[in-house]
Amino acid sequence: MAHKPGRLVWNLVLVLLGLTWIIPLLWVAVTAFRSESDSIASSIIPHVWTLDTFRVAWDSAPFGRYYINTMIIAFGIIAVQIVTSVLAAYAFARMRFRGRELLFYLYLLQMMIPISALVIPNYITMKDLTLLDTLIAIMLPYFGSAMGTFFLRQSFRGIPIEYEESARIDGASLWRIIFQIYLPNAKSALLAFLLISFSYHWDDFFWPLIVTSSDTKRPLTVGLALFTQASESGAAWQLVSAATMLVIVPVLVLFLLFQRQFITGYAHSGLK
Amino acid sequence: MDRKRSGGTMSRRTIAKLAAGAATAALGMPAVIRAQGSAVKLSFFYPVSVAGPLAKIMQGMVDDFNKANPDIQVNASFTGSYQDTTTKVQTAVNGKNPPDVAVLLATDLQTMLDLKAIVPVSDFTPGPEFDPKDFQPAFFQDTQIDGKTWNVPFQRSTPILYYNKDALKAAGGDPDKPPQTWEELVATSKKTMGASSAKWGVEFPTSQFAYWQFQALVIESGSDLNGEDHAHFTFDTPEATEALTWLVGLSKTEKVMPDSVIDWSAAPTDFSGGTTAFLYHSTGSLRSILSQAKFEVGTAFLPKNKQFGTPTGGGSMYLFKDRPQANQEAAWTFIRWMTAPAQATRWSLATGYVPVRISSTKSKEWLDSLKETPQANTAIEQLQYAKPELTGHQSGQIQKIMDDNIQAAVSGQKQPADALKNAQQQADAILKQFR
Amino acid sequence: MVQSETARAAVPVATARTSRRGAGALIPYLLILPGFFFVAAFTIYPVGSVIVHSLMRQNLAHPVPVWTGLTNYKDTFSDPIFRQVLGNTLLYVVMVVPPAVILGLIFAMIVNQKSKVASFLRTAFFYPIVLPLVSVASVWLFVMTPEYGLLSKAAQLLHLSEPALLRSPSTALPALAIVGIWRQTGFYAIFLLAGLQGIDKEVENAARLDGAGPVRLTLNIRLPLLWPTLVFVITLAMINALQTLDLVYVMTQGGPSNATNVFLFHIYETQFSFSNTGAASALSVIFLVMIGAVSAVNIFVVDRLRGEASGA
Repeated sequence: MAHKPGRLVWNLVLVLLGLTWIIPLLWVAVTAFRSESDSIASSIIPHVWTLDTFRVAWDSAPFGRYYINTMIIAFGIIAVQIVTSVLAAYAFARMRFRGRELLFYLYLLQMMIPISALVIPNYITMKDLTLLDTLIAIMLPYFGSAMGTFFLRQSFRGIPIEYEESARIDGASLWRIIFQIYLPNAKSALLAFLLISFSYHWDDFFWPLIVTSSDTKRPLTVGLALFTQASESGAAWQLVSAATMLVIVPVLVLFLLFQRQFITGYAHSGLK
Repeated sequence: MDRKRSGGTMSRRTIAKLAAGAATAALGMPAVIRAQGSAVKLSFFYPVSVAGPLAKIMQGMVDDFNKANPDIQVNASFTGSYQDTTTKVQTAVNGKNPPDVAVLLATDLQTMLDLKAIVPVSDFTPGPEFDPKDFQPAFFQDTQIDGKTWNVPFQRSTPILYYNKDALKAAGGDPDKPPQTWEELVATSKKTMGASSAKWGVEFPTSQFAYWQFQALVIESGSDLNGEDHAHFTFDTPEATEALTWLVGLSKTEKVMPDSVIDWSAAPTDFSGGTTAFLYHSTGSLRSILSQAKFEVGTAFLPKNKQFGTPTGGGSMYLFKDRPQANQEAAWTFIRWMTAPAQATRWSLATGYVPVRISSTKSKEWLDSLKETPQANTAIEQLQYAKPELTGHQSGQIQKIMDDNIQAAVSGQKQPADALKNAQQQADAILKQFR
Repeated sequence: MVQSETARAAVPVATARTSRRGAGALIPYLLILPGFFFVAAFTIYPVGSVIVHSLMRQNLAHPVPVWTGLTNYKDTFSDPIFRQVLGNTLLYVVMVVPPAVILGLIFAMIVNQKSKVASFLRTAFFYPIVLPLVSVASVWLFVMTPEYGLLSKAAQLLHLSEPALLRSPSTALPALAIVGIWRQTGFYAIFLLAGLQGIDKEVENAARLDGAGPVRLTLNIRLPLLWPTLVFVITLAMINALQTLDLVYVMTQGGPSNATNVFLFHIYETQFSFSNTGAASALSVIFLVMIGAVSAVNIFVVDRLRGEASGA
């Protein structure tokens, strides 16, 4: 194997590479602690460290409201997706019926057609339903999930049919079989799907940008985009940095805590 | 919009209409009653497009209005740039859920009419504080179509020339005699670059509103970008070519300006930080620049070529269709309050926008402030040379076409004459449908 | 995996349930209905709807839609801005996908070791993927802003001329590409890492015993076995790059001079700023065809490759 000094140099190179990946975030994090009057032109490190900028950022846009909206959207979508996906996945995995193949392929179309390409007709639909500028309009198109259905279907198939049969002999209803036998046995697929879906909807920008118009309906992403534009006009980079950190820190903490689950979750999505 | 449904769905449409009618009746009635009991809630969209903490100032004024009018509750939403705000309003109008009031570009008027989105303010009882004759005529003329008044001037502006008096002094000039012509501007710029700490002579931002400040150059050259009506523009003229050639030359041949598209939002910071000695920018950035600059700031008319000239600019307040009558009435009260002389003075003193009311400029408060900051008078005096800002059908798209082509010329991708020819072709292709 | 498994699964699926008649036969449809309803309403129906809209003229000058056949497509293809947008989008894909995938593979190999350094690097490389793109755009907008940004600071220290990457038409799109690579590389590395870990250790060890060095091991053993995963990652990266919008919206708004105007942004401005529903619908259909083609490769070709690789 490689001898010691060579390994050391190699590790040093690697650490430098890792640092280049971290520096942009570090730069923003440091600037967020700089007071508003402390010009960035004068130094790279703030002269005085302060939490004040966070308070100012929090006060200058309804970030609390944005947070709540994003939570409602992300959790609302996930809750409905679980129900719709579990039911459909069971049918596709364990039942035989006319048109199953066709329905399954139609379902899978959703994985091939990104919703971003359909914003215009979906916007018109929301307009016809008079749902524009509501949180429900942001969530509706995602209530059915081909990906969730597909994941769970694969997972359900791996569960021995005997489990279901013995439960049926005990007189369990279909409902109980699905939610008490299949679902608990598909935990890893479910968790992978939940993590991916959650971070997708935490991130989502284009569709909420289009269907919302008032401040009180915006999710974090749309709110931050507007805040960045407004503060950029005063070159208020401290504020932009603080606001960006407000948005980033929760997901970053989640990632650091559940790093392994995130990684296996994503890996799972690519390799079924 | 929903043509796809039109085949054989008359009944559905009728039902929808009936339902909508019923809903309006159900919602409209209590709204009127509620106006007496609790407050009418108004939604108000506004953009920010100049330097400074404008969102905070705006919220302060709205709070004061809400305090003074307990029966009305205005909910202000910051909606990004002017373009974003127009987009948001269009979205909301399409969804039959428009805001009650919005600040949009004065030049959006024709587009809003094409969208059938707005109601004329002249349909409402004027009230004592709304006196059309007291508005600056250069701004009020932009509100008129077909003998009706469609919006109320609020944050109106013109571009002005900001200059660094210290840099001028260092260059051996008289700080109270800024350059008056294009040639003088270039000559003085060169001197300041050698003599002062300013890295650049002049900055003319083109990332946004390029069409606007460029229009000033065209007017100064003896022409205009607006054509005979709202479906015609005159981009491809010798005067415009002369103007664009001069603008491009500032960085390419004279070397007094940075050689790329200069950012609209960052330019005021460049100026107040001393990076550039001269700046073309909106008068709306005045207060922010004055408070940030650590040197003496001067303001001047935009230098002339053949003549002085500038377009008007900035935003007006619009009232929207598809709102309950009680809301429209309350919104009208809000607009009148926001544009009354006292508020016009206050907004202007906080931002640098031109006071839209003539009586504001005669108030003691304003005259006192001029002693401190005589720079604020420049834009008002310059109004005598003002022409209406580039406007017409699809004005947002037309303005963007002009911006894109100016940027292409400034960054050396197109020759000035070609850029203007392209702009004319692209604009004509869109506007032929309106002729 | 889709085709082969549905075919294979057809046999064991028969359960007690299939023998039922009458009301029971409806049960599978009822189970599928809730999810399928939303998929149909917001994925299948809109595809039809947008095609119909693309064949009609509807804009501010003509608010009432009228059938115009292929006029919107003809106008679109002859529009110089559309050509620029198409070029920008494809150029962006070309600038992002190869570096992101290659770098992702390198990351995956680095991280696929057990050491303190590897676990630090795993965090460093992978954290950007959980950050919302909009916040990534804010971070980099600040990094790249002239005078105050990190890049300018670095240039000042080194006495270089200050870069204004986002202000020049020739550098703005590459600057966005750098951000795209920074954010996505870790994402692709995850799949490649999983692929690497899926390689049979015995195969690698056997090759090592035959005297294969790390380079030969990678080129001759690992890459062929990774091939299905690589194709999957490349197509996924293409789909993501084609859909770039958030970075453009926050950092450049498509400028300067349309140099960063990409497909989705152009659809957005055509519909929501210029109110031209007909043109925006035609653009959407063209975009759907592009994305659909890559997605089909992603799903069906990768499926087949995996089938071959696993010997099924």
